[in-house]
Amino acid sequence: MSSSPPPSSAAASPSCPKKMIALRSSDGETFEIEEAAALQSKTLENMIDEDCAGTPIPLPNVTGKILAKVVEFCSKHAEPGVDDESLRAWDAEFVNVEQATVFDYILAANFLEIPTLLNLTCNVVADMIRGKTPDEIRKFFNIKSIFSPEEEEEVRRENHWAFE
Amino acid sequence: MHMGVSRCFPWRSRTSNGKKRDGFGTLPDNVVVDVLSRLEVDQLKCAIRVCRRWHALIATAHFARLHLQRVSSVTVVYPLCFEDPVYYNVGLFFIDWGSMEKKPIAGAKSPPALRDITVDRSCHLLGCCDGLFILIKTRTASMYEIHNPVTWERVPVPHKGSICGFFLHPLSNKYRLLSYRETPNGFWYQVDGLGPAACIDVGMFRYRPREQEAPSGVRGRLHWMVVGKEGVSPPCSHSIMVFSARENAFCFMPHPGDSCLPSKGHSNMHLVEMQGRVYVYAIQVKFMSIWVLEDHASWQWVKKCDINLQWNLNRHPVHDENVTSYENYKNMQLIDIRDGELLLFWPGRGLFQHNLQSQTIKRVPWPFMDGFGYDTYRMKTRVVMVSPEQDFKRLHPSGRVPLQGGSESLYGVYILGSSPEKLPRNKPGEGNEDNPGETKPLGVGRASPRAQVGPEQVLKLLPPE
Repeated sequence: MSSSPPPSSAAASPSCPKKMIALRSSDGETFEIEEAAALQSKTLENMIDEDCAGTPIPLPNVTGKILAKVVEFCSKHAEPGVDDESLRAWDAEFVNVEQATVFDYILAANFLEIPTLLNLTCNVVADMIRGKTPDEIRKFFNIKSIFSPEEEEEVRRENHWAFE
Repeated sequence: MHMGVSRCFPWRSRTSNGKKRDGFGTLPDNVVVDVLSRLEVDQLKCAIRVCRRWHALIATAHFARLHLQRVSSVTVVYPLCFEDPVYYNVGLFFIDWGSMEKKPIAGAKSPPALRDITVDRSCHLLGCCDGLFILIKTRTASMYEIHNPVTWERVPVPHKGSICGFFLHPLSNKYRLLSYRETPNGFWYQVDGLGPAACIDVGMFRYRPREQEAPSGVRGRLHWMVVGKEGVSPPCSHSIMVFSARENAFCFMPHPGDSCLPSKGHSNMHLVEMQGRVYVYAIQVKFMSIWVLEDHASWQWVKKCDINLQWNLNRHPVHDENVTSYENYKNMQLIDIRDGELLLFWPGRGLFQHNLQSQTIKRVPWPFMDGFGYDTYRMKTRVVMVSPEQDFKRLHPSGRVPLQGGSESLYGVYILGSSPEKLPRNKPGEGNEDNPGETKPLGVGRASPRAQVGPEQVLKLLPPE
């Protein structure tokens, strides 16, 4: 009897080539994401560690529409063998959306703690701010400035420098 | 089954007339700060006026620190013309290695450019810390001034002694000035802050910094080549003086390389704090040797390279016939080092970029100096690392920071002498491996650039402590 032991077929659990994590958005949609992609999110990483797998992880702060995109982002960034250049191009396309959506992405990235997405989206917003006057910034982002005229004057004065 | 949108995003229902909502209103403060800290200083000038919230977020020392951490650094070159008996400053220039960041096209890289920054011409630049310049008025010995090149704020810091260090104290997070006074027995050193607060005596020592400069240190330590009274050279073993900001103490260390002939001293050796590291370079006849301090604790220096300076002299003619062949190299200066490229200043001939790998050199055009005549063997450059690179790119061609309507500058961001912030001044394992690290911009030498990408530093000087 010299048969070699059969190759161990992993653990008792059904061996899946890739572990999928289920996520549930605030509006009840369920999404599946590969573990590798999910690990891009520190929040999810913690949850996975705690072995919440099995039941979908509820994400009450993220809608289905946004979660779908976030899953797409993480999956893309977890893909092996993508060169920097094309990833950058993909990222640029990804954030080529309307302002409101970018903010949604930021919120999701902040909540899910996805540094790459947060970095990308914050840069986009910073780019939107660049080159604008305060008034233009307010208009663009619909920010209500609640400086009273006196306050505004004070800010001006504080920052005034005698230019010799 | 979708829940009502308003339950997920309650603010949506609050939007008055329809389409646009205040995206920023939904973001928590830390995220807004993250976004705003990516802006350049001149953008922050606008941002701070947008609304009360942004004003409150930007005008804090915390924001300043965060902003500084994102900043990249730049070497500032500062030619001194010795033609005048009292030499005057011809302006500051910063080195734009921007071309280095672009993708090389077929292996060729365009040389760094120099752009003009102007400070008050009656001042000399001694050093730079976190982008704040420390200047000395040329004709008034003890008149020092701290200058914010971005906002043009100036704070006089009169000192009876000679200021030889301008650094951020790691523990108190306050800026400090190290100065010395000559006494019959030696040199008396003390440290004080920017305001009228008390000084701390450091002690009496036999040596003083050889050059008139105020480094800001690397990893909390400042370095200088020193001389004794009447310009007497110390022995090789004591040729470098190191000051620990944390301990307020000096020690004297040997320079790297072979011992020097007693007659010559170490006049051919120069120390520079650059890119977060300490370098020593020495010119020996036709070679330049460069060492870098690898480990401070063990004072271990590693030779970085030996450059054969025997470039084809005919290709780079000298502008002054009186320069002899030895003189050709003696006063060469190492200006900057980045990505395997060195920037060298060759008196009489100009600025050159030397590639360590290929051992090739390239002339760096410097239109200002070309017009000036290049009788530069009498000229020196001082190199100062200052963050924000992009800020200087935005400078008006005449060199002045553009002041738009009302001369607004940035409000109170980097508050000097404020109560210590809990922000870590230095990243763990700091210093400057590739890029990230401490900026300890520097006086005559160079300084270590600050981390990374992104915007500039945001500084304002408040009245001293």
